[in-house]
Amino acid sequence: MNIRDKIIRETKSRLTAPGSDETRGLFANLLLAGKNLSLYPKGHSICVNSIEQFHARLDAFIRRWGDVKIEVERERVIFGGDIVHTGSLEEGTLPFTLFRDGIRWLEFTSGVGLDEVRELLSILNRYAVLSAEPEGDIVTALWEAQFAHVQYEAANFFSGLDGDRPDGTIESGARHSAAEDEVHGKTPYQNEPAIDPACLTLTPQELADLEEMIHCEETADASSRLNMLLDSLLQYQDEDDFGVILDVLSDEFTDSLVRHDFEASLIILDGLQYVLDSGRIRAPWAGRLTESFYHKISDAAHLKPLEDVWSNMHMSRAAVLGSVFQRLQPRAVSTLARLLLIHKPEQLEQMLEDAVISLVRQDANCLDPIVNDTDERAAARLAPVLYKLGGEVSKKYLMKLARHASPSVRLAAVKSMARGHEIEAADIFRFIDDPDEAVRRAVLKHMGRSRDEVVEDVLLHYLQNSHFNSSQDEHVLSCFRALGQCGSERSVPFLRKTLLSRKWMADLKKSAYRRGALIALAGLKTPEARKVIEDASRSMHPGLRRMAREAGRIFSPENKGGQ
Amino acid sequence: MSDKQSIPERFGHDFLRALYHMINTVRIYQDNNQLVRKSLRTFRTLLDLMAAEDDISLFLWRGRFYIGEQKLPYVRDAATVVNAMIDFFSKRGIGSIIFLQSSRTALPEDVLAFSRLLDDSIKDGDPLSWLDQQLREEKYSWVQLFRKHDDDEASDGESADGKRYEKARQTYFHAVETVKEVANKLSQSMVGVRKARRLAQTIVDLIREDTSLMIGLTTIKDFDDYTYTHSVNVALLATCLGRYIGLSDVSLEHLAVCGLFHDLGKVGVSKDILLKEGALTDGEWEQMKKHPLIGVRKILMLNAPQSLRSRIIIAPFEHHLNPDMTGYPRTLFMVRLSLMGKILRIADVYEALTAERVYRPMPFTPDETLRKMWLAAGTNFDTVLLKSFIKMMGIYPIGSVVELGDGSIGLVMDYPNEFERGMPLVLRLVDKGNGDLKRGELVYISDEIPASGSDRLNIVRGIPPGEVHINPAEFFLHVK
Repeated sequence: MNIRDKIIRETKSRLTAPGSDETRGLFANLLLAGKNLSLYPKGHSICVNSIEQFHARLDAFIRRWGDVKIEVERERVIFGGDIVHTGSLEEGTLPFTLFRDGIRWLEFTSGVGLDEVRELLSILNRYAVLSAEPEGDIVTALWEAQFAHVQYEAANFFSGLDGDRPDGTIESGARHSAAEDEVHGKTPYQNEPAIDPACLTLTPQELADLEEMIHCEETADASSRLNMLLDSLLQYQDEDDFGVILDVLSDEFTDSLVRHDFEASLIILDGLQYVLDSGRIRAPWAGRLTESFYHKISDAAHLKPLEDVWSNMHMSRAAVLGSVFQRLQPRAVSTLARLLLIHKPEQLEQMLEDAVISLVRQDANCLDPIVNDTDERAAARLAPVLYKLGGEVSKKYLMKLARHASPSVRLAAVKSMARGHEIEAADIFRFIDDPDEAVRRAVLKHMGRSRDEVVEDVLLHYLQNSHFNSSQDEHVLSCFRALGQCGSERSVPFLRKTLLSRKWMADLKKSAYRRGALIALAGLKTPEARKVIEDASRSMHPGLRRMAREAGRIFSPENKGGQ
Repeated sequence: MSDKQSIPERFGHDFLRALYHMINTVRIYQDNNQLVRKSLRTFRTLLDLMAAEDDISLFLWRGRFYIGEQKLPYVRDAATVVNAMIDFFSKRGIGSIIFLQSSRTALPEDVLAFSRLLDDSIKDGDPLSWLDQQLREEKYSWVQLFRKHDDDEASDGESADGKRYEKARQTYFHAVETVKEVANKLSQSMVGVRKARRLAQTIVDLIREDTSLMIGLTTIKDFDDYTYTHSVNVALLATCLGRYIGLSDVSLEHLAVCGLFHDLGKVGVSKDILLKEGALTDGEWEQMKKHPLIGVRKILMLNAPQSLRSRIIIAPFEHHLNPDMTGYPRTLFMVRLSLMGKILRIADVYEALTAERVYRPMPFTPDETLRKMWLAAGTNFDTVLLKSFIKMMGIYPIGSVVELGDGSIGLVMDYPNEFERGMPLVLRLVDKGNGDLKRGELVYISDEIPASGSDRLNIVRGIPPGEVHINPAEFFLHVK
């Protein structure tokens, strides 16, 4: 028997159907792997295991029986030569997906690898739900995958068209086609000589150029496309056309962020500005549409990729991204402020803060959405940036933040206000009655940071005219402490009166005032204050005497610099 | 390449390819030709390697080759060679060739002689019997041939050839319809590109399998639907060139779609201008020059994946731009043309010049067109790509009507060697007796002037099809 006969015999024997249980088992494995892929996330152990099991069984099957083909018909599935299913295909199953998308058969051939099986199942799973046209289709995905050991046949996609078009279509007609510019009305080439075949050989440099061109094409640099779109903009004189290109550019802008291709983002932004500045588009709608473009790309939806960008941001890319930020419209601040919540190195944060400040300076109203947002984190993070911004806008929005529903935002706002000198103490003092203790403490801390008659007056007025209940004793004491830190001898009469002229027994609740007055007097550290404390130490009231003695130690020689 | 693969698995395609090249080179050249020696060396190296342990059985069954007992897997890159060899085997009734281990010691000239016998056997009514007899007479005991198995209908080469031809033909006309459909629907609504993509993929596959056939199809010129046939022809030519220079399949798919859609903008140009017989006025010319821009706008309206849209938009914009960015539309931002744009420009101009136009009733012949284009290398066309295009097409491109050295008329049908297009296969066109021409024999000819006493034909010149009143496409479409 020669090899030829042997091959025929063996191949034929391979093509005889293997045991039904074996094919059905393998088919069941395939369905299970497909199902698991649809149920579990990619990389889940159940998925991985079932694909590996299917592949192992498939490999063994092919070694024994030869290539395995799955043929899908409307009411029948043939697998490995065995009818494994009759009746309607169940939606969502792998055979249904194959049939629906016109895959007539799919064949696994000898040598099929685990990666190929995994990728194939992944493609089938991806398109299990009928996708919209722009999302591609199974046949295209299979075609592009170029599996070495998985073959398929797709049904004729063009069955609706007449494949047996009469040959008369190629006959010459009487009408003429359109003119081509290269040759229209003139003959650019005349009496051409023969081509010397030797000239056609590519030189090493030309070969290198060709390789470079292919490389550029295959790696698909976005800049060519963007420049082309910008050139189109320069040519279009119609509002609709102009608008379409701008829509595309806005999508391109977002895509460039997705790719972290900030150079492309800049090409779009700078290019568009150039188009406007060049004055080539004089139509009145050009400015409006362009303004609308910048408005659009600065919204949260178009800037959404920035979250990922910023999370993975590296210092080396900061400058170019910063340039992109600077070219956005102020409404981008809503998105940028949220990026500030992602902790990054100081230099990066500085760049981002600068961008926010720059945009806020263009239009402070962009801050409103953040200030009014129920998400307190961005608002709280915004406060120190507003401090850096300075000026009336800063004050206005910090004051707004200081009235925010969230204590943390209010605290951040007060602290930011307190950091600078632009906001008057009286303004900050407005928040002295904040329900949050930390905020009140921050206000008083600011009040007491230096001797200041204005602050002193404000505090005196507050203490003289406010009514506190016993639960506010700590607050009262803090106010007196602040008065001691910012005040002068001008406060002494009030403190004396508070300390010594009260009707003690009738107004026990006011003991916090007396303690506070002593604290304030001790803080004032003036002779007048000392005199009042000494008077108090001689009071008839034992409790007052004790407190006064304790306060008086501050003035003792051994505690000259103490509190 | 995995070490676990058997030798036939690892070298099967290479072996088939080496045999294919050897047969093709001995068909044309003498034994001492450098190309012949090179192909022989390659073949013997593989023979040595593969026959070291066992005989090499090259077996065709049910349209697939087996080497040893291993079926050669389908590899897109090897499709051209595999299909050609299936055709070669089938036409000669060969089912298998077994190179015994002793073939490793066969004399080089015997191997070449065997290749030549294989090729020449087609001339006999029963090629395999003739071959058997020749092998016996020459005492080539190191090789055995077996007839095609009776039940192996699927391997019928002519049938495979016919199927491929039919598929190519259908694809062509579907492509025309698709471009027309997209162009017409785009003015009313968004149009999907799934059909165009499938077509483009089929075009890529067909070009891989048979580039010559696809170039031949570009001889179809439809005057009623000129823009559409022109677009399909440009798509075919551009994709062929893309493949020739080694673009990936995905890029070829995109290039084909670019070709199909590159003139969509003409749908937006007034028919009065498109169909005007006389010279265009300046205003009309300005309108005409807008078509790449209108095309861009239309492509943007396609309901296509962003990744595809972004790759098919540039070349249509650029297809009237020169390498130095002159031409139209005017550009300010773009500084250089894309590869696809350069390819499309070459294909577009070649196609346009070889078509009959209202101002040029007699189109340029393909060879004349190439010469004209060559004069503009570097100014109107990228030189590197134009060189590649001319090499791909041959000095007398497929579809050229030519006058042969013996005074007869022929039609260039194919170049057996895809990458060295020096020796075309020409279909002689013979007089029916009434002045009309019909199919004659197929002959290989040299493009060199025959030496005195040589029986080799040469091509004297290309002639406009109109001069002999034929439409080359009809011969490719088997109408004649």
